Amino acid sequence: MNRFIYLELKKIRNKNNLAICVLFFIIILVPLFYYARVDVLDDKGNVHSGIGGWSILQERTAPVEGVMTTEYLFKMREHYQNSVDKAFIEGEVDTERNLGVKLEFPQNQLHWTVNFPYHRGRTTANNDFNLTDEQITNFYENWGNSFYDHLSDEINYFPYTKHQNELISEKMKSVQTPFTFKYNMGWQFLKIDLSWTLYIFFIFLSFVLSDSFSKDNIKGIDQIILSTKESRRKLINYKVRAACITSTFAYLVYAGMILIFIAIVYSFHGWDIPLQIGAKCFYSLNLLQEGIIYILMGYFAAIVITYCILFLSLLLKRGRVVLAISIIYFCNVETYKMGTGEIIEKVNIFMPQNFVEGLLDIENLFFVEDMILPYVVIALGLGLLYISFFKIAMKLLMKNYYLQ
Amino acid sequence: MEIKINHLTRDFGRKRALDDLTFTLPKGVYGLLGDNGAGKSTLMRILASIDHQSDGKVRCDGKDIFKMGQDYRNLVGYMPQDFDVYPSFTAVDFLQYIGALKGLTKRELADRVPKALEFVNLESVANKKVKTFSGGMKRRVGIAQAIINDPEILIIDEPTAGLDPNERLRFSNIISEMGKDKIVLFSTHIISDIEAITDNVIILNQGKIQKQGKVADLLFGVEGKVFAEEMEPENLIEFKAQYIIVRIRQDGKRVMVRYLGEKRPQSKICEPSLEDYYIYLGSDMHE
Repeated sequence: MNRFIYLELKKIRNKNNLAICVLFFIIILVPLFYYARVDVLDDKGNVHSGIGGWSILQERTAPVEGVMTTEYLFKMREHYQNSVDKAFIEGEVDTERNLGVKLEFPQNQLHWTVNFPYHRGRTTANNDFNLTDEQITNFYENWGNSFYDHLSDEINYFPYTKHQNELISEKMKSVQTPFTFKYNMGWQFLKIDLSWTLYIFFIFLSFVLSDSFSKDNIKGIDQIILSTKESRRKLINYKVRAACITSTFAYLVYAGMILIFIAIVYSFHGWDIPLQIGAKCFYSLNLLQEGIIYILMGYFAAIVITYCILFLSLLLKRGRVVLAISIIYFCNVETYKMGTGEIIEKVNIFMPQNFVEGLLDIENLFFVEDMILPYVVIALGLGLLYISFFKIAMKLLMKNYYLQ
Repeated sequence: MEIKINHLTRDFGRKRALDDLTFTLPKGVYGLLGDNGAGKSTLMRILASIDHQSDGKVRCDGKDIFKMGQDYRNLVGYMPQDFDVYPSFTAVDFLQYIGALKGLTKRELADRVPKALEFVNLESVANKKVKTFSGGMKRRVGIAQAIINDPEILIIDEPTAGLDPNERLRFSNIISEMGKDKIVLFSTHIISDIEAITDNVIILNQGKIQKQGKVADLLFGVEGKVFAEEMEPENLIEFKAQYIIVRIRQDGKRVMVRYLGEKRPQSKICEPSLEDYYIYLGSDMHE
């Protein structure tokens, strides 16, 4: 490694930043634990609460796992009719819990998928399995045909034209069937946990990197640096590379922490089942492949944010101002993200914080003529555009950088 | 090599820090003298190309230094008046960091960092963190970083501040020697340092050049005007009202007064020093 980059890293690696690192990783764990709380039933109908419930759920899902052939679906309907869950799902037993956590059932995603052609994803509260023989027999055909209507009448923030709806619908019809159903909560929570904690990780990056170009960081050092030959030419590259190495290392720790948490609490069982279980998507990928895309996009977003922080640091030359702006921005976007509405959705697609949201979903597609682009492609394009802008702007700023 | 400064002006809002300076610096050592706020550091920062003039030009061998960019900065070694070092850095780290920014290769760094540390007498603490160093040691690190690229133009703001007497003497000699093949510009509040280091002096006052030239030529202006007299301390108040006091030294129960003015019956004429001249410049006598 270049000696200068090593020394830049040594600058970043100090006791303060180590303490900030520990503090932030503790803060990140809070939402992970909070959203891991669950209420589940055991085979006898007793309710179990807490994060240990996921292992009970996994055990109870094992008997209903399988390839979703017609025969399997009939069996599952029968299984449901005789299960302890039915009374809870259909409201015969009160399912509201003291802390507002609702019961999680082993067949939730299976039922959501099989009910989709008939309820189009609207059944979440009473996710039963009371389909007719005909509905079960024609499940895949009905499933493939249901998306045109779904996209036409669903509140859609990126409304498609009739032709675009047809294109998407055709893609959905060509999805490989039959699906396979398995317990897969680890993969669902990988996306949820990334979405809920990525902004905290970005604030951590702001703490560590906001001083990168600040003149108030170390008294008078900028005077020495700016008088050197490479100060305006290579310094940016050196600092960017050191900051990216720091962000990469921090992201590995952050993502590693989430993955370990998921492995312990939810498990990574069900990695090989298709995306279509629990999601509206026409790509023939399994949950492992989707998870890798989300983790890589989280990393990409972190690199975009790294460039953004360095740019602000160079522009404003005040670490604390950069930090304050970053905190306000990330927290506001996070609050904004929780809301719904056309404007929110349209603005959010530009935010790097959103680069781990609905990456492959059919409600987030973009069109170039008849070519369909998932949001992941748009996010990559936007991110590369941002990076290019920050790179050019930093070079211009540094070229004309004088102390006063 | 020479640096030509033409009508150099620097404004900070309404305040004019440098006012139409014009002078030339061929190879040699130059001492920059002036009160606080006279514009010494501003001038040095512009010559180090870290600040920009409001008007005028600075040329190095006929080329605008700001257009030369990194070619000019490659020639420069600069130590600011006040600086600190990253807390996690050792002296070696800091020199390698600055050396890398000065474009030195890995091999050059391996060769020059130990030499620079030896030069400033810090080789025994090379791997200690700079944050543990005394003020004088930090200044020595500052000098080491300024010379690590063997610059042709060395700009050092207050090089001897905070150094112990031995180091001060050693540095004075070293800076003096450097002037043979470099342009060395240093500022100081310690007038005797200028006399010890160089015979070229530039005196700034409120952003303007008040005087520039050889020390011996300047001193000619106060020849026969500097005297010393021993007196009772109670006579000092009356004496101060009539003469310009350069220095008062306690000598037992009496005081020895060095002053500018006329010969008195008990006074002895003195060989003038740069300090005498500097006081003379700021006095009514000069006007």
